[in-house]
Amino acid sequence: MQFSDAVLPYLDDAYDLARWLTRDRNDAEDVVQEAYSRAFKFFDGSKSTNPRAWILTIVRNSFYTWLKDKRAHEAEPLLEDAVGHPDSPYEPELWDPDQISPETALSRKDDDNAVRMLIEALPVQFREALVLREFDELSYQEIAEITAVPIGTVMSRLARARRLLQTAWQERQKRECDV
Amino acid sequence: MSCADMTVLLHGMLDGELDVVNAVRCEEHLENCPACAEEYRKQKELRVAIRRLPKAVASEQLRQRIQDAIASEAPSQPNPQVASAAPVLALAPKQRRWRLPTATPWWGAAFSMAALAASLVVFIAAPGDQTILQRELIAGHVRSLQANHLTDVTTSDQHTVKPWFNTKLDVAPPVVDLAGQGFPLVGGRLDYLDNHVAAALVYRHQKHVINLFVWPAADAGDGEAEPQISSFQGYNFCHWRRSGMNFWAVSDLNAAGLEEFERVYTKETSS
Repeated sequence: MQFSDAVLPYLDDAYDLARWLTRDRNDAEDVVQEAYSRAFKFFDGSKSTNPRAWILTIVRNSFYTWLKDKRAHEAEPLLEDAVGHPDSPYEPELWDPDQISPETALSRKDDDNAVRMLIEALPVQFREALVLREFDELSYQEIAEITAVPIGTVMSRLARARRLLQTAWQERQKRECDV
Repeated sequence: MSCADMTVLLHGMLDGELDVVNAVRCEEHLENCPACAEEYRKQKELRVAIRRLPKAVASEQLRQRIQDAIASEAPSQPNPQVASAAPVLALAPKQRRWRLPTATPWWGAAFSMAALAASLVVFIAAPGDQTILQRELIAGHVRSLQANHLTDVTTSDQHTVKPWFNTKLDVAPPVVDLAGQGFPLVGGRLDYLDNHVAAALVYRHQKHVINLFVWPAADAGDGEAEPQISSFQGYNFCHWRRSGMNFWAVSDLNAAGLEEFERVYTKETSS
């Protein structure tokens, strides 16, 4: 199978994942370009069994390389801290310009943007599990392979991600009642 | 089942990932525990809110950049100079740059670096086609030694390997297991060498791996060629041509061992 036939159809999936992981349009494009470059290098036709999972794996790995380059590990915000303590400092440079902090998200009027911002505020391990499950609709097995963790870890990360979102979501609804 | 168990299992339930036994236990718990049932209901609502989000779509520019880069790297590259450089680029995966030109200066710089690197490679490759091919063969061999890439079809059964190649290649190589002679067949895979798709048969001899690359000779009139041993960059090669096919065996096995391999392979496949 030709490289372009195998993985180009999944460019939108690749970009969507990169967008969720980097939380920035330009960074997502850089990560996807790097991922396709790597994919091209290692493509040997034998990836045809599950090219989508394969390219998503490479996107995810390219993202971590990119993240490491940014030396941004310590800047990963924890949603529960941010939500629990509205004044807690989080590193501003990782957020989108227009802006995604849980605080901003909770004050957004429209639900879609609030949900998107809350997901973007999740710690990255939880975020990637959630995105692969909810948007790419992958099985636990596939997510486990892509993120290189046991299936049990996938389930507990999803549980954690959703509980964080649920808590923040309730906070938002409570505030709307107070207003 | 306790509520504590449910904090995680509830999500397996939501995703339809539980086995039957646990799914039944979860359902029983949900029927009898209002708190967990409420949490389950809320999680389902949250999922609806999450899945309603629109998907991000790759920009046309990004798609175009990637398509252009693929087109410029395709093996059917008509420019002869680029074509001769390509195999050499392929041999050093870590140094090989496959940068996509964009409007930004950073990419532009990377791209001209790549052009410079390519011109250096052409210069270094001057010793001749044989050297280029040997570099490619080493690259193919080394790649095969990296984890999980030794074979695409893994079996010692020649009757499995040969039909597998038949479905992938126009000309199938002679496949024979040489375990009785000390060279057990491990499997086969496809590789790309000398501008051909090549079959790679993988054999073992003690702790050494032997990759035998086989592809059709460019011209049937090339005739037969006797086995010839050579070495390059610490690897030994044995090359011969027979029945319109090129054979290259590559290994870190010593020259005598490789000659022995050629002898038994030729003997077994001729009969």
